[in-house]
Amino acid sequence: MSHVDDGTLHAYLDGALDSLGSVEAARVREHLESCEQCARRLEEEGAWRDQAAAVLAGAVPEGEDVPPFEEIRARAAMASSAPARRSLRRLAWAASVVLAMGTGWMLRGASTRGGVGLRPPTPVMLAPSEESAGLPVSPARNVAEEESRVDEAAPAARAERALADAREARQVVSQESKDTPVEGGRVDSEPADARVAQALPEAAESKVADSDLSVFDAVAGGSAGVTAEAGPVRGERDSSLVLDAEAPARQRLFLAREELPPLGLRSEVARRDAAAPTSPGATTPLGAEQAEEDAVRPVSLSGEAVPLAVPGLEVISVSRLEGAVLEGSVRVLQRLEEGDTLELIHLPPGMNPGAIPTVETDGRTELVVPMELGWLVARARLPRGELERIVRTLAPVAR
Amino acid sequence: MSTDWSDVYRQLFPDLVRFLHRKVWDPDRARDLAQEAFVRALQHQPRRPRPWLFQVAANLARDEARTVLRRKRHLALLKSETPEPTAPDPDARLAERERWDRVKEALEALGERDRETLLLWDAGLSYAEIASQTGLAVGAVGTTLARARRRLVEAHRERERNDVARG
Repeated sequence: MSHVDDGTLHAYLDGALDSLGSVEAARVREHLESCEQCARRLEEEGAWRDQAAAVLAGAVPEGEDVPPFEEIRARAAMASSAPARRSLRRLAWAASVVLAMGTGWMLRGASTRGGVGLRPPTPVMLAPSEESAGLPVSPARNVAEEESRVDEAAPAARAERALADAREARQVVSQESKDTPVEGGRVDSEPADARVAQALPEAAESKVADSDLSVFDAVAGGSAGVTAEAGPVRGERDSSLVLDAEAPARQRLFLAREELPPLGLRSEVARRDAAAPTSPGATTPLGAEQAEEDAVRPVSLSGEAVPLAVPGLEVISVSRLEGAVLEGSVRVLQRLEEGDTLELIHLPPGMNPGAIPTVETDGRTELVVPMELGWLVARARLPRGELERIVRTLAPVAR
Repeated sequence: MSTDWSDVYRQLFPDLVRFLHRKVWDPDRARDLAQEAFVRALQHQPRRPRPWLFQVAANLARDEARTVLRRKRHLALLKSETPEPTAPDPDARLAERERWDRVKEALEALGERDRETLLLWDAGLSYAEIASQTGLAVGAVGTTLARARRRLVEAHRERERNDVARG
């Protein structure tokens, strides 16, 4: 038989021979016992291995004391409670609006009676009106100011509300979709879609805090069972987007919005539900209308994951990225409320997010999120906290 | 099956620090990043903690490298890329620093994937876990490690020879 190659010798030395399969492992062991040449090479490779370990041992930091686990647990608990605090702030914001509207109404009444002579404030300009009236700034207004600074969160809040409603609607929908036939990872369940679409406007604020932190796990775990079709995206508009490792970063990853005509893409809830009935806790993408029959085709990342998108935001395009370093990656572009875009790049397992150039100079925030099936890179002109929050609402998109 | 995170933490924290230290070359920062990786793990509760933690750690180290690069652009005062070692007396600190520099340069002589594979192996990941994280086929991990080990040792020797020649 042929001699054993260096890689296999190192696998043998590392005790990882069985990872090559039991037949191959047995063949190699047998060969090493009978071949003097390979036994000698094994010794040589063993020496390289030991010397490399010794070199690396020269860079071990002193004093590897392990901080108490409770410290880590407390930090995680604090980080997890942040969304709850945000919900409280939202409530405070709502209270301040009500209070300010009431104040405005009262002042308006006074002016019509000729008592104070102030210009009646409009509900959306409460703070300037109060100021111009020389009134003291109320604590409620401070909260309002704080919230107004994160006005960019509007799409995120909308997505959260959509997500909460989608969960509720999905319980009804999934029952219907279970009976719906699956065909090539594609299912028709228009009534279910319609039900979910109906649920959209009825956003329930109280459910926002319920958004769960393990959405990635749930989605990734669920998507493993999706029988989505691999293959090129149909109707792809920006197929000319070819990533070239030599090109400047911004040219590589950002096309002008005008270059990306809206696809009117709609995502489907029940299609995915029926295709992946074993996806517990998976979140649900929402679409306002039923998609065109021929436009419905799930996109997969090498058959392992379904690209994600923020429910409630228009999907401008879904495209595959090309080029050696990003092969198999999928880019989803969504329109934010401000007319700006949210870019989501899904990298399959094994891809290096570092291959995507940084965007630190163009004013966008970039978030790299490890998933159980690859990576997600999210970019938008939003504060980091808001981008994190919006990313937590992601749900698989199908087309 | 629920994960005993306390146990995972006790077992993996030193490995994670070692892995991160060879990427950021700052022991304190490596410990900070390792803690951050565990905080995120507790929030996300991944089913397979070890590969997840190392993936997050690699990502954190990459972000850290970007931050350092940015800082370097703006701060002319930042003279050295490698932070001060932690050894107590000056001679030991100097020796430790030289040792770190040699290892760092030797690692930099490797290709990115070879270096990542070697560091992941040294941190205790299995061939299957390394394959999953680096995108290599399981059968190619041994070949990559063979090449990386040889190159690391050769580069390290070369650096030692240069040090001796310089006196």
